[in-house]
Amino acid sequence: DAEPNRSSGSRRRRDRAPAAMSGMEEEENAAELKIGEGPSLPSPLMNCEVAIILEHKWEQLQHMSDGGADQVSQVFEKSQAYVKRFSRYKNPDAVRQVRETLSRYSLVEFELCTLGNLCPDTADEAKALVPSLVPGGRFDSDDRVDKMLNDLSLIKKFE
Amino acid sequence: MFFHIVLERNMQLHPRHFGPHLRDKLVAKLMKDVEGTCSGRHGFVVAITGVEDIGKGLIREGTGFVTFPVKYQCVVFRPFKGEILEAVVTMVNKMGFFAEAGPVQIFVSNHLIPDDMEFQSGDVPNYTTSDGSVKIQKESEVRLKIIGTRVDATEIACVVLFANSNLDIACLISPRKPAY
Repeated sequence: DAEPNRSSGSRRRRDRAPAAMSGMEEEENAAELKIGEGPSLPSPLMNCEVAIILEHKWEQLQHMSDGGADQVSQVFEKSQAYVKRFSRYKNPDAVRQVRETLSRYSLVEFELCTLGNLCPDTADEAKALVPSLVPGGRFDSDDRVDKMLNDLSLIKKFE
Repeated sequence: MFFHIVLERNMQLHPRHFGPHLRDKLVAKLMKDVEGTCSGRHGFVVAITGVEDIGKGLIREGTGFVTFPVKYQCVVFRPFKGEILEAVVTMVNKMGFFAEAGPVQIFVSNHLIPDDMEFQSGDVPNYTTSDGSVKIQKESEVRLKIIGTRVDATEIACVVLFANSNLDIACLISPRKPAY
């Protein structure tokens, strides 16, 4: 009998091989908060935080004698331009305050950063931008969401 | 979205670099090799922010090169399914429009732009709603929802939904490099 052994073990191996070759990964879904896994969990950063980090790095590179600043990758340049353009908060103290304030609302880091990046005006907008806010009972009423957004906008006002 | 992450890499160094500046040379090589690269798993490595640990070097048999395990911190950009992010329109034509979000380029096909938006050619090609209230042209800022990503070894293609100003998800958009 020449038919290959079709035990479930060999079928699993076959199914996995094409996926590995094309590099398809398991579903990572921000809406359901499944992000990354493995020994070192990534920490989400807001655009305004990244702007500060990249600015600092850019200054370090400029002080290097071998013209380090001229050799930055396109990825760095585009990212720096992007975060500068899409940072809602520029002042480092304000940026810190945003994270502190949002941390009081039992948000997962990914949600915190999305809110800090997109700065919704209304509870409806916030819930549309961050669907994971809705289930789970952390924000039973829109009032709580409104309070959070209000706190955010106060930081902007006094930046 | 941007993430801060700790990664590990084995760096090989030629003996000519050994000496008092070994660590500096290792770090310089690390930055040169890794910054600006993209992996399916971690996304684009935007900048290395620090080196946490450099392990003991191991001489490779036969070559004299030494391998050092290096643990380093970096900022990466990695779009995720379900994420809503802002992007800048870079080019508009009758096929659709290109937008950029940091290092990632996204293509939004005209098939999937809302029906009530029409392409208008001219000096500044754009897509405009019939009542003229929403206009997409070069340098416009748009919000896109990633509804899927496909990663291969070196790049990420995003499937996005175009979110109009009312945040109604209007339509499905094909990625820059369709592979389905």
